Formats: sequence, C-alpha cells, structure tokens
Amino acid sequence: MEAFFQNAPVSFWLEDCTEVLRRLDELRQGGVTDFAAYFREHPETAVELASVTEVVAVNDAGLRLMEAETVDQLRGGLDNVFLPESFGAFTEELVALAGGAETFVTEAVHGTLKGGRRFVRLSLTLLPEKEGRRFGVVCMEDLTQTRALAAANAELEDARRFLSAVIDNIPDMVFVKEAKELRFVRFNRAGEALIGVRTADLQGKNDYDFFPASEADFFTSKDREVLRSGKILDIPKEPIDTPTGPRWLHTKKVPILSEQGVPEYLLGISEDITERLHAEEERQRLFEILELTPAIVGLARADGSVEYVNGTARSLHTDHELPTSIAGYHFHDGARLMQEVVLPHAVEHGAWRGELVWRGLGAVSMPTVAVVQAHRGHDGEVSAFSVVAHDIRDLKAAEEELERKAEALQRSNRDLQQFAYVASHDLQEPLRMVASFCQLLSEVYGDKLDDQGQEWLAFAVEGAQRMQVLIHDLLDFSRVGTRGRPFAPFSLQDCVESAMRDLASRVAETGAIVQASDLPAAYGDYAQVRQLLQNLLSNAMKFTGPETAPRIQVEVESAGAHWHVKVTDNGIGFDPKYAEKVFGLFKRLESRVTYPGTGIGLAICERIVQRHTGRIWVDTSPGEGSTFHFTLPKRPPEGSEVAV
Amino acid sequence: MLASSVVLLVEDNPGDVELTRQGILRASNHSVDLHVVNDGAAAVEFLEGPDGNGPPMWPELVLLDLNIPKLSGLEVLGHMKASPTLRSIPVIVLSTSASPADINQAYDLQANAYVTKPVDFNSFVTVINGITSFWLELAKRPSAAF
Repeated sequence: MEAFFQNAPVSFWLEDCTEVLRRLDELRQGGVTDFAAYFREHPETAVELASVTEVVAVNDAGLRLMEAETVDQLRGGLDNVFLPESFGAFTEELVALAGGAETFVTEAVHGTLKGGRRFVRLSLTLLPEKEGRRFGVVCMEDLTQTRALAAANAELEDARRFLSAVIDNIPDMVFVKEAKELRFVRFNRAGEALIGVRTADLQGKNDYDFFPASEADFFTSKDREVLRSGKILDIPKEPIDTPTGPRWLHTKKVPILSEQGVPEYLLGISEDITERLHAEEERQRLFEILELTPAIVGLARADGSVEYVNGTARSLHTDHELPTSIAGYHFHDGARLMQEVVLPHAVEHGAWRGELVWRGLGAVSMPTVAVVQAHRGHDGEVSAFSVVAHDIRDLKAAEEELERKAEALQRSNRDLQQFAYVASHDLQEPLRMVASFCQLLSEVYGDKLDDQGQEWLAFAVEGAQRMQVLIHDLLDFSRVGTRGRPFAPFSLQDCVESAMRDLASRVAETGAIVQASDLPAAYGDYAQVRQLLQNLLSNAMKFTGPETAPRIQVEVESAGAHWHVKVTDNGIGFDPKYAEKVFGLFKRLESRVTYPGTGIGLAICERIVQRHTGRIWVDTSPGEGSTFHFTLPKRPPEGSEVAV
Repeated sequence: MLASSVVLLVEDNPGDVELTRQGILRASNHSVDLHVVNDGAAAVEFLEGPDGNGPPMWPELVLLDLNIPKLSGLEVLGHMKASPTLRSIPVIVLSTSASPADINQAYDLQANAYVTKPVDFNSFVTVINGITSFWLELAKRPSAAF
C-alpha cells in the first residue's frame, strides 16, 4: 500500500484535519450556521485554518508537483504552498466540511516551493476517525499544461478568426492559391461578390473552372511568373469576365514562400477599377472635347498657376511661351484686370463674365467674351479657376462695319436733307422765274402774239408748275425716312377716320361709301400710317369708272405679330403684271389727263410700310377693282420700351 | 392818293425784284417807294444808316428773302429783332422755301409773317396784294419818330 501511494502517477498527500474539524465545531457551537457568509466576512479565519491543516505525508508525484526535494519541506501548515488565489477553493472545502461532507472535489490553484503556479483538480476524502484524529487523503491531478494548451488553442482560434475577418472584410478581392496546381485555397467576400461564386465552391478548383480558357491562361501564366521570380507582380489593368459583365481589375500577385524559399502559395489582391476606368474615360472624352472646342479653355490652380490650356489656346501662342500664370492671359491697358477685378469677383460670386483681351498671336491681342469661374473643392475652398473665352474678333469687326455703315447712312441722310432743302428752295426759284415771266409776258405782251404763241406760252407755264408739284412730291417722299416720328401704339380706327376727314370734300364730290369699323390698335408712326391710308383711300376714290360711286372697304386680319390691313375698292383696277411697278417712284398707269397725279402716292406708301417693317402688295384685275394689302406691327418688339 | 410808304426789299434775284415790283404795281393803289438791296450785309448797312443812327428813309415794312448772299435772311432778321430801334419794323419773310425748319426759325426770330412765294404769277400778285393791303393799309404801324 505504501508503495502504491509512493509510486502513483498522481499526487497524493495525507493531511491531519483534526484541528480544522474541531475549530469548525467550535464555530458551529458559537452559533455560526452560514459558513460561506462567515468566511466571506472573516477571511482571516480561513488563513488561520490553513495554517493548522498539517501535511503529514506526500508521495513522489506530490513532491514533483510542489517542486519539493523532501517531504519535510512540505510538512506543517498548508499556508506555505498556498497563494492568495488558493483560498477560494480552500474556503469551499471548509464550507463543505462544516456541512458534514466526508469527501470534496474541486479545482484549485496553488504555489510551488520554487515560486511556480500549479492548476490542479483535487479531491479530499476524510478517513474514519482513528485514535481521536481525522486524516484526509488529498489526491491531485496537475492540469497546468492542459489548461495552457487550451488557452493557446483558444488564442490561435481567435487569431484565425481575426485574420479571416480582416481578409473577408477587405473591399478588394483577395485570393490564395496553392503553388503547385494553383487551386484556390482561400477567397474573400469581395471576391465572392465579384466572381459570383461561393468560397465553398471554389475550394480545390482553379481558374479554368471559372473563366474562359484565354483568360485563365493569362491568369495562370502571370501566377507562374510570380512564383518563379519570387517577386510581387503588379498588373495595372486586366479584364475579367463576371456574371455582371466584363470588368477591369488592378491586381497585385504576391508569392508566399516557405522558410526555405520554396513557393507555397500565391496571394492575389485585385481592386475592381471598372468604375474608375469609366470615370477616366469620361474625363478623357471631356478633355478631348475641351481640347478641340473652338473656344479658348484654360484651367488654373487656386494660386493662379496654369494647369492646362486647350489646343485652341495653344494655337494662339505660336511665337512665344505660354504664360505660366493665369494673370498672363489677360491684360488691358496695362491694368491688372485679372488679378484685381476678375478673380476676386469670381471668388465672391462664383463667376465673372465680360470681355477679356487674350494675349497671343505675338503683337496682336484678341478680344474675347469670357467666363471665369472659381471652382470650390469639397472643403469649400477655391481650388481652381477656369477660363472659357470666345473669339469675338469677327463680332467686333462686324460691329465696326455696322458703325461705319450707320455713319455712312447718317451722312447719306444728311445729304438727303440737304437735297430736300435744295429741292424746296433752290430748284423752285428758277421754276418760278420761268412760270411767272411767261405769265407776265402773256399778260403784258399777249396781244402781240398769235394764238399759237399764246398756247406755247401756256405749255411753258404748265410745265413749270408741274415740275414744282413733282419737286414737292419728291420732297414728301424723302421725308418718310428723315422726318419720321418715334413709334407708339395708336388706334387704326382713329387713323382711318382722321384720313377720311381730310378727304371729306372728295367723298362729297364722288359720293363714295367707305366702310371701316372696329379696327384694332397697332404700333407705328401715326402720322405716316395716316398718310398711307389717306393715299390708298384717295387712290380708291380717284381710279373709278365714270358714273360709278366708289365703294371702299377697310378690313384688318391678324397675321402673327402683324396686322394685315386690306383696302378694297370697286374701281377700274389694272393689269396684275403692273402690280409691282405701281409702287415705283413716279410710275403711272393711267393718263395724266384722265387721272391727274405725279405717281408718287404709292411710292410713299411703300416707303412708309417698309419703315414699319411691313409689306405692301396689291391684288387686282382690270375692271374688277383692287385690293391693296399692307402689314403693320401689332405691338412693340419684345424687350423694347414703348416710346412715351 | 395816300402818302408814299417806304418798303425795303431784301432780294438778290433780279427776277424776283422785278416780279415784286410788278406785283406791287398791280396789287395796290397804295403808293410804295420800293427800296431794294441785294444782300444781307447791304440790308444791315441800310438799316443802320451811314452814321449808325438808323436808315435815311425809315421803312414801314421789310420784305426779306432768306437765301441771300453775305448775311443770310435769318441773320438779318436776328439783327433787326435784337436792335431796340429796328425791332419794331414789321418784317415779312418772303421765301421760296416751305421747309418747316425755315418757317420755325423765322418765327423764333420774331418774323412778323412768313409767306411762301407761289409759282403762279397771279397767285403771287394776290400774295403781294394781301401783304400790302394788310400791313400798309389795315394795320397801324409804329411811327418812325417815337
């Protein structure tokens, strides 16, 4: 039996529990019922009880466990192998003994004589009382190494989970292939999403199971290259077929070598750059458009240094270097326009619009109309400026040409006014002389002339008088352009009625009936439109057959922004082939004897209508009467102010 | 027979001078002493008189053409109406021009009337008759020595 204990592979020791049990009895008799609570309140009592629990014998395994050389080293109180944390299990044991238990099992920690720590499972069994003493047999199994192993395993599992989580959560595709047959051994979530295959399905398969042969060939050849060279390979752009269509990857392939330098695995990390490539393509397209747009386009950084100018801008700088600062692209009268006006305005308001002179083409500067924008970054700070400028040289040239023409026109108008004065005064003077002296001659010396002489003198007088009427009419004609008044809204009805009042005597003479009612408001020179209507109405009354009372109708129709006015008569009409000719200056279709007049009336009408941006024309046929049509603006052109 | 009135005719065209003379002859039974000058400067010279104290013959009416050499008719008119002694003399502008600009300017300078010369001689006689009968017979004129 002695040998059995001594050689047992687990630790045994024998301890004298007599004193401990006696003390517990004392406590019970002292009134302690809840020992657990008691020891919580009096931990010092447990320490004291440990010191009176005497170790009596220890087997070899026990000595090893306690790192003791001899049994004597261990004899005495338990407190010399107890660590502070050992008392937890000891107190449980005391509570069990106090409760009358004969045996007790627990796990506990205790120290060794050399300062070590041991984690053990122990059992205590009380032996029957013998000679007034109670001994207990303690058997201990050393769990220290088992515990350490479990902890190490748990740690390893944590590390594995952590690594898996990291790999799985990397937003790029991560894959690992074994080096020999390049079969997948690891694949992350981003990869699953990209390829559309679950990790479980990938295990043991290779590229040929998922991709077209040509793609798989490419991937595999790159893999081999990496494993052969032992160096990281960067593939900036590789196409890949996925269930959602072709995509582009930026892949890095990394060889994983054993300690001996033998390739074991191939690690791949692939970033899906499809969106980025699309954005780049978009950018490229915009860039190409910018490059060739006929406008000047320039970009500058926030500090004004030029980042880019497009082809159009570069082509303007043939004989000197491109300015490196945005300030170099403007200038006007030596002022620092860009620096002091344009850029500050753009910064404050987002953009500046106006005319800028573009320096280029050597000495020639180019006028442009430009937009300068201040662009802000995500932080709200101005990060760049852009300039878009259109060449307006042609516009400027056209403006100048227009100014020149306007000047010429003004000159011509002045000349015309001068002519009008000459016509009204200087041309009439000699006419008057001819007419007056012919009359005087006729009056004073008439009796000395025969009938023919008298008649010839009469022709001379009449010719001179007609000449004067022509000059007057010409003057009226010229005044349509030079004496016009500003346009204003007016009533066409008033206009017709006013013209009719001037023609009242003619109406009475001819018995004419004129119908015109509810005519609308129009926009133009009232006095001129009145003259226009008066001329047309007067013609309508004049060119009637004998014994025919004129019937005249004035009607108005809408024609877009214009009124279409029609003056219809029941007169003699005329051959439509003269329909355009009648508006010519001094053009007459009828004999002066039957229908007197110089032929200026319709020419004046046409000039008046033209000044009103309208049209005038006539529908007629001989004997069927005529309808004269003309158009007039209904209202002022959009955006113009009505003259008050 | 009434006393003869002095009328100053400022006119450079001999034809018009003759026509006016003939017109006055036919138009009026009023005796008119027509004094003719041929340009604006001569008109001012006559009106100022040799010593600057006024004309030797005080005209009761001035018939003024506008288009005359040296000083224009309007300048003569302006000169007269600016002068305290001459401005009371009635001035009838007699011109071929019917230009509104001429007419307005003449009245701005306080012409007493503006008459356009008719082409027809008979009408011209009527016009002259109208002028002389109104200004020399009907209207009361300021006296020369006031």
